[in-house]
Amino acid sequence: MVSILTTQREYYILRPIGSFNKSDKYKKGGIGIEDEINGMMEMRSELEKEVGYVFSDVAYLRRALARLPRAEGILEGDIAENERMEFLGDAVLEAIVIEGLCEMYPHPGNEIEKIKMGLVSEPMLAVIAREIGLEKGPWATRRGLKAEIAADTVEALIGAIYLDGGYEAARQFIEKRILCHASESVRNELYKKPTERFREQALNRLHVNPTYRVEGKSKTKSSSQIVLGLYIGSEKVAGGEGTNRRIASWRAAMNGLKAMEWN
Amino acid sequence: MELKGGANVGQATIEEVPMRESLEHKLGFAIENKWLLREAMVSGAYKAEHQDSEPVSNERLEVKGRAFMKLFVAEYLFRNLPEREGGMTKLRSALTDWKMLVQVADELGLEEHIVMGSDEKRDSIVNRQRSKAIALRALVGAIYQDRGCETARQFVVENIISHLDEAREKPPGQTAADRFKCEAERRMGLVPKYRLNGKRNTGKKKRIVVELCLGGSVVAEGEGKRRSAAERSAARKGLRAMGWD
Repeated sequence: MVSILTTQREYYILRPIGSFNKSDKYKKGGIGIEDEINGMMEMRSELEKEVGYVFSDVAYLRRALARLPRAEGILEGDIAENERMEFLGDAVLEAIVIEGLCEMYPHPGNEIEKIKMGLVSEPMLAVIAREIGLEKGPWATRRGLKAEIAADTVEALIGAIYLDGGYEAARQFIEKRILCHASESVRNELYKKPTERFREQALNRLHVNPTYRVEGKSKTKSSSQIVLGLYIGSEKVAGGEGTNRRIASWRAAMNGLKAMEWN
Repeated sequence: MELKGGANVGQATIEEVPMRESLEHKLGFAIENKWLLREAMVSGAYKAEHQDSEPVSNERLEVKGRAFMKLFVAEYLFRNLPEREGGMTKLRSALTDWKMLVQVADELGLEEHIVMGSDEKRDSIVNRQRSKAIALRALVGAIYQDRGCETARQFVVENIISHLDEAREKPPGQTAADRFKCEAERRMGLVPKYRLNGKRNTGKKKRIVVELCLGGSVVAEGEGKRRSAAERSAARKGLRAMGWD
């Protein structure tokens, strides 16, 4: 049973866009507080549906969402709690992803680690945030959500699920939303550097080690540019440019994979 | 019985862990799957040397153990300390850095059970310490897989989190370079710079030499295997040269 007090506090996070000043509206006698709470609960259940988990203690959910832009300035006291939750959620996420990957794939340890890095990276978590509707919901402003905040909120949400429902509940969420992306990463070896992928393919198919040659360099005070050519034997396969050698070689390798249709 | 670790029971050539019983005595419980325990104690270097007879090493278990060690420590800190996120992160890294892991491994007397490669046995103390830390992580992974979450958690609480007070007293993880920069800015308002002064090749070993400059004049010179190591030694010498330590 959730007390009215908690639900009222929660209102600040879960309120719909446009209903900013609560007291004004009630003075005008517009919408009754009952409706507000009902509407809010509906949105909460929408999020819970996407997450696939129903919180028994809403306070956890509230803390997990405290860093979202609409809650800022109102739930100051919860920010520290939110960061603590994110700290826990980060560890929970990593452990569950690693365990899942170890069960699914026979890859050696360092590759498991690399696959994990892709799955728990900020852009990935920001995608998850969009999938569960944090971006378009009443929690975000019209400008949307910064990737950093979105990713942190997903981690905090995982911490909240873990605290409220335990390991199993957190595992189900992560399996459904995050681990399902692993197969793509593994099948296409996306967790490897493009240069590494190109070299392996070239060695396997043609038994040749590819080489990179510098084809142009320009350096001004504020920027530098390097152009690399990717060669198999003496034949040029692709080229790439970038501000440093690493970026240029990655681009060249990606172009090379495309040109050889090894993807 | 299914073996997720990848060890093959049918392979009779695999031996058990050296002095398994004494290891289990140290742990206070037995690991049912002996091959798992063996896997946790075989270093990657040994596997590389004995590719025909040794199908596994502790790499995978290490990854698993590291993740769950992180989780258990994080959860303990979260539930028991009022610290903010930054404080907890510092404490966690102090509890799980390799120095602490080596210390814990030594307390457990893990070294005699590790199946090491010949390099690790003979070579520098650093390699041996590294394999001790790795074996400890892998052991946590093996306990988790064999005895379940709660036993593994208890193991981590008893052996690692018990050093919480030490971790708290550890000087904040400031490197010599950080300290030098702080002092230079405070006392002289200058930002120190590191300049590569050359690579020395003495026989097989590559050495990198770095100069530490402060406002155009060279304060100290450091040398090391990698640039980071060279900078660290330069900063340490710089602190001494300026009398700031």
